[in-house]
Amino acid sequence: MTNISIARLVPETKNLIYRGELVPVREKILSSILELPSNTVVYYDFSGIKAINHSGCDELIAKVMQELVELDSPKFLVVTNLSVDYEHSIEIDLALTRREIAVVHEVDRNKAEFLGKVTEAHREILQYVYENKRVTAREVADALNKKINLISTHLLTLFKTRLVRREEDLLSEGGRQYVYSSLI
Amino acid sequence: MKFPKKLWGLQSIHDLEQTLLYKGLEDMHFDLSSVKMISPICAIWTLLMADRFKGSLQITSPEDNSPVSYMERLDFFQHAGEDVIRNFEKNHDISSLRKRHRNNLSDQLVEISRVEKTVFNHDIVSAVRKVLEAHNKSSLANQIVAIITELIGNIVDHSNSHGYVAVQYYPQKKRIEIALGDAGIGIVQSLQDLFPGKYSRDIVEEAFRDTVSAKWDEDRGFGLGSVRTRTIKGSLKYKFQVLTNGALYTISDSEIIVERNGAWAPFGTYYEIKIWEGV
Repeated sequence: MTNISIARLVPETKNLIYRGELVPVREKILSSILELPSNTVVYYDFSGIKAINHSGCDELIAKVMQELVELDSPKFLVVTNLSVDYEHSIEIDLALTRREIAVVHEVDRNKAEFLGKVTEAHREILQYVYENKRVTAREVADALNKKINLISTHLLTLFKTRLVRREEDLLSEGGRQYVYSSLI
Repeated sequence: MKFPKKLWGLQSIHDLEQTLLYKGLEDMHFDLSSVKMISPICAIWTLLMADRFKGSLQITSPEDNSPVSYMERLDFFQHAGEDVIRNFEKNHDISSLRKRHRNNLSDQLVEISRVEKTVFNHDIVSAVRKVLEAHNKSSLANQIVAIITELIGNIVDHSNSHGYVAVQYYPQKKRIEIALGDAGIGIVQSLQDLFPGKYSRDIVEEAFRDTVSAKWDEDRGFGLGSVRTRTIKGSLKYKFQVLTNGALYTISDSEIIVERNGAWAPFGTYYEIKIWEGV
């Protein structure tokens, strides 16, 4: 896990509202993320951040998520310590929905919500994964009473869009299976 | 050109611009002598026109002291050029007005502040929040700040010019008015090469698309589109209007209505957003 204090990157204003100021911040964040090992979960700590708008969310979250999705070596992003007073989660949700992208929001240590564009089917699966922490496609399919092929496809999509992690487990009887896990 | 008694809103500005274009720009004389009331957006327009025609614009100030006093309170003279101040000083003691004790109106008014190209001034954020929080509109504050900052960001990055912004809360009407204007070339003119053959209204539609368009500057479109798609909470009413290149538009999340058309005007872009209690 790597923590990035967003407020430290915009120390004078603590606002994420002007794209022109945030472009170099995004570039700095991305270059540091590229140095990190595979499967790292990066936490965007929003403590101290005040006003945000769509352009700010787009520059710092959506564009970074788009880059993470393109990386061969998977890395993940979670936003945390969002301000209720400044309605951060609402703004991020609206902005990412327009970009058809999603991000995990750590509400507290045991609770996550998903901001941005998430289909109902994906939301149901994500809730199961995050409640159970580590799951296989078979477990999800059985729990949700869905066909395993369908669930496997959905889980792959959720992994590719960096909303869940994936590891390969060797089975005692031979063969392998994928295990999907929550980011928090 | 004689100004009417009441200078209020983008309709007034549209009328003035069309009259100006009809009369021609050779003899630039703004006769404000009859003006009794002036709104923030009209004050901003006057400032921007004075900036645009610096040195060649004559202004006759209002005879009535009330609008001049309000303009001073808006910080109009803080931004006006010396030539404009001299015009007003023929009939009013502007120096004394500027030195007078000011009541603290930080719960009702965000005075005119200048928007510079390439420099984003964050002071507007706390100033706007203060006005809204003072009137139990905290839940609105975030949305209003988001709207204003997107429009200011558009001026800073894309107008290639400066602008002005002001916010006024009218306590008796329980209404907030947000006024922004820039001295750029106008939305339609800045985008028309990207959309050849399209009507002005359709180009404005493209500028405020609620879906991201890959046809032109995605980042710019993303910001402006977000202004359109916001819905104001609860029972509040909301009206968003834009005046650009000679036409006045009302923009809602479902449609763009051409309220007024007219001759092509190269006088920048003006935004007015009004929010009031629903009935």
